[in-house]
Amino acid sequence: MTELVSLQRRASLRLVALAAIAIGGLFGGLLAGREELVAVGAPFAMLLLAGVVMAERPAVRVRIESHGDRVVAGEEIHATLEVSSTISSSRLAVWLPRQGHAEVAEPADGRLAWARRCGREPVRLGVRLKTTRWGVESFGPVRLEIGGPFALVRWIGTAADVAVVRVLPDDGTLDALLPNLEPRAVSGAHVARRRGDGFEFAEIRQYREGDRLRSVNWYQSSRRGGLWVNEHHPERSGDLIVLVDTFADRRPGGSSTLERSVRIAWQVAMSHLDAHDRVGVVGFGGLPTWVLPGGGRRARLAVLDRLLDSYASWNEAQRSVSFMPRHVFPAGAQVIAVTGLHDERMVVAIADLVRRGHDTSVVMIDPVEIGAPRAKEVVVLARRLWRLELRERRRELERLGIPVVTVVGADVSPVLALARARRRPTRRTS
Amino acid sequence: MTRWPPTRWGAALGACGAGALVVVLAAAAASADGRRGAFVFGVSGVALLAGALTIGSGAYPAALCALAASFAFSLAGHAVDGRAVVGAAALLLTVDQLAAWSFDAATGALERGVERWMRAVRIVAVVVIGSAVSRLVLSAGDLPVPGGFAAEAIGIAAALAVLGLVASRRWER
Repeated sequence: MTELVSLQRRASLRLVALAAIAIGGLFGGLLAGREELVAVGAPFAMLLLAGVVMAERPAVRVRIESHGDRVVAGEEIHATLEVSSTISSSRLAVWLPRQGHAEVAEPADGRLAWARRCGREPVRLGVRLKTTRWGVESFGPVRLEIGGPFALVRWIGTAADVAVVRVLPDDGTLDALLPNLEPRAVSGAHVARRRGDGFEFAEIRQYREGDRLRSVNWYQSSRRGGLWVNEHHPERSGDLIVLVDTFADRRPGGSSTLERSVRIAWQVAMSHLDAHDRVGVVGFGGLPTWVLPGGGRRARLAVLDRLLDSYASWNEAQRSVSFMPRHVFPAGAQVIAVTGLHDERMVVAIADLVRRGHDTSVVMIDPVEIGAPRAKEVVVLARRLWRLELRERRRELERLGIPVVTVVGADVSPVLALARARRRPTRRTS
Repeated sequence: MTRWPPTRWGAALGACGAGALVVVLAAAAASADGRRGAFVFGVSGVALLAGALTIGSGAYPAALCALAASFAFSLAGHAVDGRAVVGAAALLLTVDQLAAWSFDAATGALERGVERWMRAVRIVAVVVIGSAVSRLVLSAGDLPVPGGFAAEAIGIAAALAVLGLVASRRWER
C-alpha cells in the first residue's frame, strides 16, 4: 500500500557557512572598497539564493512490497521499494532498516541505503536477500531524505509501512513418521494395534458369521480346511506433541542449538501434519509457551508461528509440565522432545511425561560441538565435566526406557532411526 | 571501528586538499603584511575542516569562514590578480561541494554507478558557474558606476532584503 510520508524540513549547516561568506563578502567588499571580496562572496550568494528560494516542499509516497510473505530457508526474498515525489531532486536518500538473519544479495555492496536522483517518475529500488536459516525477516520502516537544490535544505521523514517475510525451515529431508502407539479413532497414517479395516495385514483366523466374503483367504482355507479370513490393522491418526527445549541456546561456531532444534521440530511436525495427525508444540524453557494439538492448515500455521517465535530464555523458576494445562498433553499423545539436555528441569519434565503414560522419545542435539579446539586446560577440563553431565542425563532417560537419538549438525537422519527403533511389530503369527 | 565508505574518504580528502590550496593561494598572493594572517587563518580553517569531516559537522561553518578569511587577508595592502580571486572562489566552492558529498556519504546512503559520476559532474558544473559569476563580478567592478558608497550600500542592502524576503516566504511554506 502506498503511504504518504510526513516530512520535516531541516536546514543544513552549510546554509550558515554559505550565508556568512555571502554576507561577509558583499558587505566586506563594500566597506573595504574591494570588489575582490564581492567576487568571492557572489557565487556563494548565488548558491544560497538557489538553495533556499528554489526549495519546494515535496509530497513523497513510499511503498514497500515483498514478493510473497513466506519462503523456505535457502530461497531468496525479493522486495521492491517504490518512492515517488512531487518534485525533482538531485538527491533522494533512502534507508531500509532490516531485521533478520538473511544475507543481502542485492545491492551488491550489502547496504540497504541508496542515494539517487528522483524525478516525477517513481524510483524503484530492488532488494534481494539470501536466506540461510528460518526466522522472520522484516523490512522497514523506511527512512528517507529528499534534498532541495544544492542540498542546503532537506526534508526528512519516516514511513510506517513494514513488510514481513517468514522464512520457513527446510522440510525436505524427513520422510518417516514416528509411529503412534495409541492412535485416535480418526483415519490417518498410523497402523493401530487393534483389528479392523485397513491395509496392513495382521493375522488370519477362522471365519465368523458377519465376515465379508472378500476377506476370505482362499489359499489358507484350501490348505487348512474350513474358511479362514484375513484380518488387518486399521490406519488411524494420532496426537503428537513436539517439546522444544528453550532453556538455552548454545552457538558453538555460529551454529545455534535452538535453531537446529526448531528445524527438527518443524520437520517432524510437518511430516505428521501431512499424515493428518494432530500436532501441538510446547516450548519448554524459562517462559513456557504452547500450541494445542490440531490438524490441517490452521494448525500448520499455528505451529509455524510458535516455532518461529522460539527464543531461549533461562531463569531459576521452577518449571514442570505439571504446571501446564492438562489438555496441552492429551491422553495418549505421543511426545517427542528436542533438546540439548542443557537443563536438568528438561530431564525431569520428560520423565514426568513418561510417568503420565505418554509415549515419549528424545532427540538430543549434539553436545560434542561445544567449545573451540584450542582452549586453556581448565576450560578443557570444564568441558569434559560438562560432557559427562550431559551423558549422565542421557543415561538417566535411557534408564527410564526412553529412546534417545543424537543429532549431529544438520543431519536429521537419526530421527528416522528413532522412528524405526520405536516401530513395534504389528504382525503376529498365528 | 566503523569503516568509512570510499566516497566519504575520497570527498573528505578532496575537500581538505582544496582547502590547503586556498591557503597556498592566499599565502602566495598576500603581501608581507597579510601573509601571517592568511597563513594562520588558513591552517586553522583546514584543521577545522578536517575535524568537521571526520568527527562532526558542527565546525564546518567556522572552517569555511576561516578559509575565506584567509584569502581576505591576502588582499591587505595591495591589489591581487583577478585570476587569483576567481581561483579562490572556485576552490572555496570546491571545498563546500566536496564537504557536502562527504557529509552525505557519512549517512550511509551512497550513490552507486552512474549516480556517482553525475554527482561529480554536478560539482564541476557548480564550480565552473561559480567561477564565471566571480569573473563577471570582477568585470562589472571595472565599469564606471555613477553614485558613491551610499548608493552601492543601498543597492546591496536592497538586494539582500529582497532575497531575505523571498527566502522567508519560502521557508514559511
